[in-house]
Amino acid sequence: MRGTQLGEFEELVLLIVANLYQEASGLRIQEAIKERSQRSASISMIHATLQRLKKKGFLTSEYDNSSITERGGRPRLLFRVTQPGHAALLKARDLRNDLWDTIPEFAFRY
Amino acid sequence: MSKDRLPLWIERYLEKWLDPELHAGIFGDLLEQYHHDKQTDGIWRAKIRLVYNVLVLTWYRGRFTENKLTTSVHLISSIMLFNHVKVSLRSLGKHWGYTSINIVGLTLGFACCLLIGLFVQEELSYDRYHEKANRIYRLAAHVQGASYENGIAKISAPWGPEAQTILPEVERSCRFVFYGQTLISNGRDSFYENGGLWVDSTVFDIFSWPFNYGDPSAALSAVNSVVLTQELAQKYFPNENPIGQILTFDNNQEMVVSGVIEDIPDNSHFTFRYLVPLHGYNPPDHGDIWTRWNQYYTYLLLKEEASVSSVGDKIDEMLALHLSTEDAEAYTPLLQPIQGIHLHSKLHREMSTNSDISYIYIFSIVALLTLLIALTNFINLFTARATHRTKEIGVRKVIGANRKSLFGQFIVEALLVSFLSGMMAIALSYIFLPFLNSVLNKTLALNLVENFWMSLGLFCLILVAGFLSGVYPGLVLSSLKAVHVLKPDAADSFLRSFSGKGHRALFRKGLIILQFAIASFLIIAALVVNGQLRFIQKKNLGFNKDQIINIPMSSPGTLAKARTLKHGLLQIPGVEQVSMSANKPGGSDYGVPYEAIGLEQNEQPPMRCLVVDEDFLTTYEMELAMGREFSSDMPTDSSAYLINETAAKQLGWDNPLGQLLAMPAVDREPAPIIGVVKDFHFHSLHEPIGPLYFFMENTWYSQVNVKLDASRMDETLAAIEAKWNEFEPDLPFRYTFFDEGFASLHAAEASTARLIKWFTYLAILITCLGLFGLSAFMADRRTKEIGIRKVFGASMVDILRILTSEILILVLIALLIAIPIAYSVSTHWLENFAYTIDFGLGYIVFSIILAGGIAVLTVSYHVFQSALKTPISALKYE
Repeated sequence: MRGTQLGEFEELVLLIVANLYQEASGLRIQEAIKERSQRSASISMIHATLQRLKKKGFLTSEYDNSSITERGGRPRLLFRVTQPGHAALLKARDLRNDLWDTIPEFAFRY
Repeated sequence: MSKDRLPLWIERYLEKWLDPELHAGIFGDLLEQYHHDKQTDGIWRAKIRLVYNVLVLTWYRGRFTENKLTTSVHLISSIMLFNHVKVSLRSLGKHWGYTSINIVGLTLGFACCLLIGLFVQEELSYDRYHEKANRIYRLAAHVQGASYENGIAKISAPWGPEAQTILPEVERSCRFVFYGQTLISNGRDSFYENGGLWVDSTVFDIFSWPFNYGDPSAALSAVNSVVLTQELAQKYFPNENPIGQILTFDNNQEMVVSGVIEDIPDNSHFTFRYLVPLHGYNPPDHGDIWTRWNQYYTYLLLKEEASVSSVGDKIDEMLALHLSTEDAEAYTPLLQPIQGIHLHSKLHREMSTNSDISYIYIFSIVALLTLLIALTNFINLFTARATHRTKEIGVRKVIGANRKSLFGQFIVEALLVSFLSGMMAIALSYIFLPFLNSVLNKTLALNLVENFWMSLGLFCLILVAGFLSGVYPGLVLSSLKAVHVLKPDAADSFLRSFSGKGHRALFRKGLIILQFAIASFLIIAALVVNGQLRFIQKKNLGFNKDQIINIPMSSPGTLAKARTLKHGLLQIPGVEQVSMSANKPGGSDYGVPYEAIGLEQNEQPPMRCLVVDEDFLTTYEMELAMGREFSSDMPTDSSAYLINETAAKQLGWDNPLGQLLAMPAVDREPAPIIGVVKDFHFHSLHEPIGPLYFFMENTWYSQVNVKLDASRMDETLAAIEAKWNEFEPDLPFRYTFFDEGFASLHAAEASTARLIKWFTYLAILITCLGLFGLSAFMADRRTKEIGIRKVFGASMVDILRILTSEILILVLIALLIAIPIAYSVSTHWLENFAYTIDFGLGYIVFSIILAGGIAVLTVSYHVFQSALKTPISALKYE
């Protein structure tokens, strides 16, 4: 298995998936990223990231069976954060908080 | 909606490799976004986005495949790519003979495309550099008379300003008038300068010529101001700021330099070296200002939203107000977009000679044809070489290569050759660019870093060429079955179907036919173009253009002494005849209005005139059809007229002698026509001979025409210069040879012809290369056959006949295709000229002999080599 580190974009996607909870389909994730971070990412890029996260074991996916006409009857693929995913997010946050806490006062004086 | 098959293809494509678990979800997202985009951004943006997304998915496809051991082999997978390149390099190196033929051919083809692409790009860029180029129009006119019709590029004074005043759509108007040759002095040096224009002060509101010094808005407001181009400024005021400096024009007029602009770019349909304000211009009084004195090149800047056709209609209505009913009917305004003038405008009295869109087509076609020949070579040789690769392909198949990966191998090989050729073509183009520039008289520059479109175009061309030439061989060779290697007979029969007989050989034969058709087409085209140009150079113009020099005489002082100068020159032993005139054949036009007494307005065609003295006709050896020439013994001749035969015909008099012409605009009373001059070519052979009249006017002369004795030119020229310096010690002696100036009227054709000739050589060369390679291969394949034939007693001649006849049949078919096309294209081109050669049988015969000869010669080289071997070595060769 690939390493269990989170990339910056991966972390963003993972957090968004957690935020959306039961609504985390590809296009909703894309929208939310745009809303929350003003970044535009193509849907394919998002899926590529989701797959990577899935292979790291941070996500699971399942189909939502209420079909929608615009999609030509194709069901939505919904993503959900797994326990290891949760742990990785916490780890990333702890690391950051830790680092913030130990920044000397003078570091940001210009 | 039924046409929108893109999502269908994409679904099928994704199905091939996307994890089936994910397929419905991801494709669903794509589809949903596609439909959404289609509503908001339009179908094209939606499609582009969809394809982009699919490409991104493809790039990351490793993440979407199932976690199984078997991975499908993609066309270009990164691991195989290195192997493909390695194997390609080996195979190319092993058959370096074929490889070099391919590379040389493709290099020449690409270089052709690149150079011609540069030329075409430059031609299409004319006048597009003005910021408002898409709104600038030239106002010209079409004149329809009873016995004539004409499009004229310059019109009378009031059209432009009036249009600007009364039409809200016209933002600005601006007029240019030729300034004529001037002696300019900066107090230290003086030179004769051409290329001056009178111009309205609005000029810089319309045209964007960048200023180096001075203020565009005020540059031409003072009557005695002058705007110089950088080149002229540098000449008179090297390394100083020219603003405010004084230049003396013709020794009597002081002009203040008020601005310096960059030199006018080469891609402008007219050029100049200095500008003086038009409000200082005093046109002669010439009656009706709306139709007389058509000397103004008029440009209009239209407003953003203006419709050109409605502006044209409104100008037509404006003319109806100001012109007499007859004139208003005769004149139709023409609005020409400035970007199109260089390639599309063919009016009388253009500011400078324009090019023609047909050259763009001709050159583009020639470039593509040359490339096509080179590509055909590549495909042919590549396929033919299959024989040498059966083992390689068989072994690959046995090991487990599938068709896709074999196909990839050949595409990679073709792309390698293509890219290598592309690189060499760039180098070659750098080498040949100066040559092309000298032929075309242009200053093209090859700068692939800055010239984004050219680089992109070349890159795509290389890519497409590589793919095209790799696809067919790839398809054929990858269809070889592994069993062919294990059973050599099977392989042999399979491959013979490409190299020898059988339906697959048709494709190769088709390619050879295509090559020869293109080559013969080019041969015929080159012959016709050359024939026509030689015809023009040799054509009897109706006068003798040789050994005449023209000495400009623009200073009023010289004009006063002109008679004495003329007599002085006549005493020089090598001078045969001397005459003075205001203009000359092939030179600038004098469109002075005249009146034919007793004829209606619409029976009087616009005529050109030659302002000459009594010795002009003898100097140029023009002949009289009836009547007599001007004579110095007859004082009344100073007001009399000569006309040419066309004028006599168009004016419609039964006997023109004694009929009266007058020129009220320049105060010439009615006076009789005393003679009719035989028609001669006053202008280029593009135009039929037009009506022309001659008169004498002492004060108008601006040049001395001297006919020299051919045997002692140099000493005569020296003597003339000495005589000139005696008369005008302050003015430099300058002269031009008349025939050179006249030849420049056909300069465009001359350079076209030379280029087409060179490209034809190139095309023939590439064709020969290909045929040479192919026949080497064929002779090689048939070594055994030749051996057996010899054993049974066939002679050299028999073998030659058998092998070359195959090629000859192909050449004949090619000629059958090429000749009709060449015939129709050439006759179409010849219609550009008023006087042409006929498309003779000779061209066809010659091209048949040439194409056939080339084919036989190339093929027989190899056949000879095989046939000369003793039969035993031929039979033993396997």
